[in-house]
This record gives sequence, C-alpha cells and structure tokens, in this order.
Amino acid sequence: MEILELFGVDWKLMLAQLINFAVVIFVLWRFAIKPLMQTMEKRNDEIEQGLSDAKAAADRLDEVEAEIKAKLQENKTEAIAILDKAKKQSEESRHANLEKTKQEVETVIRKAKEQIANEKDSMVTEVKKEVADMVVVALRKILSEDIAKDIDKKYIEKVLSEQK
Amino acid sequence: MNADSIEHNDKSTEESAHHDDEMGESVQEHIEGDAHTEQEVHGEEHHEHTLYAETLFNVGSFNVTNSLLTSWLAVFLIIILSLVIRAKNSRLPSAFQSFIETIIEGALNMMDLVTDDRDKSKKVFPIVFSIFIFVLVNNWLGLLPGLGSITYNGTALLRGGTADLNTSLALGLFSVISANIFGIIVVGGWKYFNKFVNIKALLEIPGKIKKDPTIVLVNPINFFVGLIEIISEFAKVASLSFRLFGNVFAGEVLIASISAMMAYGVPLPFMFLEIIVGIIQALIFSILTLVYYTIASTEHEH
Repeated sequence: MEILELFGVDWKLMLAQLINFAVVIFVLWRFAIKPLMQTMEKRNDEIEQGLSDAKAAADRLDEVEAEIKAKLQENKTEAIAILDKAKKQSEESRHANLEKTKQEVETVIRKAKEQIANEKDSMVTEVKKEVADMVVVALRKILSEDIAKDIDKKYIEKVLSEQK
Repeated sequence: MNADSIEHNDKSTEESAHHDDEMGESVQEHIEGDAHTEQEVHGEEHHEHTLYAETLFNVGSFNVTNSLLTSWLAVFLIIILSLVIRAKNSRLPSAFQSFIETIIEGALNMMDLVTDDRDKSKKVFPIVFSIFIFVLVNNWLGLLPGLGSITYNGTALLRGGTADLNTSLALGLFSVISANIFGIIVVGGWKYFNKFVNIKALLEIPGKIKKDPTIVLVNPINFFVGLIEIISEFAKVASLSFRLFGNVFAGEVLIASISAMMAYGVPLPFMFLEIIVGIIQALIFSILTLVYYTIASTEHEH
C-alpha cells in the first residue's frame, strides 16, 4: 500500500470528500433536479392536454360549422317555401279583391243606371204634366175663356198621351 | 522547475526563515521516505505541484488539504447554483431555466442511449448528474488562473479538488459500490451473488449433463469468469479514480510548466484544452458510472 501513501491517500480525507459529494447529491437532487423535472413533466402534461384540447375544439368547431351550414340550408329552403306561399297568397288575395271591386263597381253602375232611368221617367211624366197644364192655359187664353173647359182639357191630354 | 519569477525571490527569502519552522513540523508529520521530504522541501520553495494534496492546517488529527478546501468551495458553488435554480423554477421558463432544462433533457437523452430505458435513466439520473457536476466544477476550479499563486504557509491555498487521489478514489469507490447495491436491489441478492460466485452454473451441471455434455466444460469456465468479475470490480475503482486524477493533475502540471516557460499568451490554448479535458473527464466518469449501473442492473445472460 506504499502507492497509496505516495498519493497521500487518507481515509479521513476520502470520507470528507464523500460527505462533500453526498451534500452535492442531496442539494442538487432536492433543490434543483427534482423540482425542475416536476415542472418539466407538469408542463409536458399541460402541453399534451392543451394540444388534445385544441384538437377537440377544432373538431367541435368543424361539427358546429357543418351544423350551421345544414341549418342555414334548411332555413333557406323554408324561407323560399314561405316566400312562395306568401306570393301565392298575395296573388290570390289580390285577385279576389279585384274581383270584388269589379262586382262592386258593376253594382254601383247598375244602380246608378237604374236611378237615372227612374229619374228620367219621373221627369218625363212631370214634364208631360206641366206641358199639359201650360198647353191648357195657353189654349184657354187663345180660345177665350171657359168654352167647354173640361172637354178641352180631356182632349189635350188624350192627344198628348197618343203622342207619347 | 524554475517556476519562481524574479519578483518572487525577495519574498521567498524574506519568508524563508518562517518556512524553516513550518518545514520542521511538516517533516515530522509526514513519516515518509527521504526522497519524499526532499520533494516537499522543493515544493515549498517553488510552489511545485506535488503528487498529493498539501496540508494547510490540522483540525485535531484531521488534515485539511488545499484540495479539500477547493472541494468545499465547489460544494458551496453547487449549493448556490441549486438554490438559484429552485428560486427561478417556474412554469414559464426563463432563459436561464430553459438552458438548465436543455442540459437535463440532453443528459437524459444521452443516458437513454446507454440504459435503453427512460425509467431507469430517471432513477439513476440524480447520482450520475451529481457526479458530473461535482467533478466538472472541481476540474474547472483547479484551472482558475492564479489559483496556485495564493499561498498559505508556503503551500498553495487552493488546488483542484479532483487533482487529489482522495477525491477521485472516494468518487470511484462510491460509483462502483453504489452500482453494486443498485444491482442487488434491481436484480435480487441471489442472482446478483451468482454473477460473481456462480454457484448456479455449477449446480446446473448434473441436471443438464445428459442433454448437453459440453456443459461440463462451459459452466466451470463461467464460474471462473464470475470470479474474475470480482477483480474487475476493483479494477473499475482503480481505473475510474486514476484516470480522473491523472488527467486533471497532468493538466495542472502542464499549465504550470507552460506558464513557467512563457507566462503570457502561450498557456492560453492549453487552458482551453484543459477546460475541454475537464468536461470530458467529468463526462467519462459519469458515463462510466452509468454503464456500471446499467451492467449491474441487467440480469446475467447465458
């Protein structure tokens, strides 16, 4: 063991160095490696979680987009149907209104015509009456007064009615 | 080595009287050969690199050497580093933390190449990584320029921690012994014991001899191979500790020699070289430790 003496090997020094190394292991492991590795692992988990979440979100987004598209399509067709229906309805109602108005107008015209006819009739009879009276008065003036009053009048009326 | 510069000469003559007293003591303390004491005398005059770490002072019967002091400094630095890492530890990493994390990730990936198993790498990681850091910091502390010129009672106050066989031997012993303990825990006591004293192989012979007669020859050989493994465990300790010590010590001697020849500029490339050697030796030590752990924890294959 002369060689060990040559190199100054001393078990106490070796023990001291071993203790130094033990301290290094403990401190490095306890304060540096362990917490750092925990952090790294946690972060890796989080990143993995985040990636899977992002993927799920993207999938869900696609799904929702497809849903929205489908719904939009549905709404479109529905809207077109409603529009068609409304058009038809409005057309119908317009038609009906027109018809009704036409009828009304016709009745109004008819009534007006009737009225006009009636009034004309009554006017004609009145005019006749008045003309007869005027003729009578005129004749009386002409043929001096009171010669067979009644006969003349009756005669004139007869003549007038024949003319008619 | 005529390492002393001219400026130093007056100082050393001034202190020489003081040295003489100290020398007397230290000579008495080291009960070593004449050649050895001569070397020591020489070393004290010129701050020469001795093969062993020099004693600075004694606490009882405990010699506090300059290498031990440097190791304490290394431990102190590592503690500070750890505390900084813990203080900066957050979910969103700072640049510093990213750097450390990159190192840890890289180390784990490197370890996977050896162990082939992430869980095993993680289990061994604290030990292997601590060895790496401890050896690295010690190697580099020994390179600090002017480290040897700070003297205390005529000896350099600081000397690379790993430039002392005590440190590397302690680490080597720790590495190999803990690897064996790890193997016993993972593989199991009986199986692990059979790696070295292969009783199982001998017991197998009567059972299998009819099927395979060559077993009479093969299994005794296996038994002796197991015995050789015991020796190889000691060889591992020796190779680990002497490799580290030799490289670091040689590096320090190299730089001291170059500096003595030409103090300005010339030692620079050698400094870089030694910085790289410091990393490489730390890496080799820790990777070999990892290899021992891996070998110890795999079951012996036939």
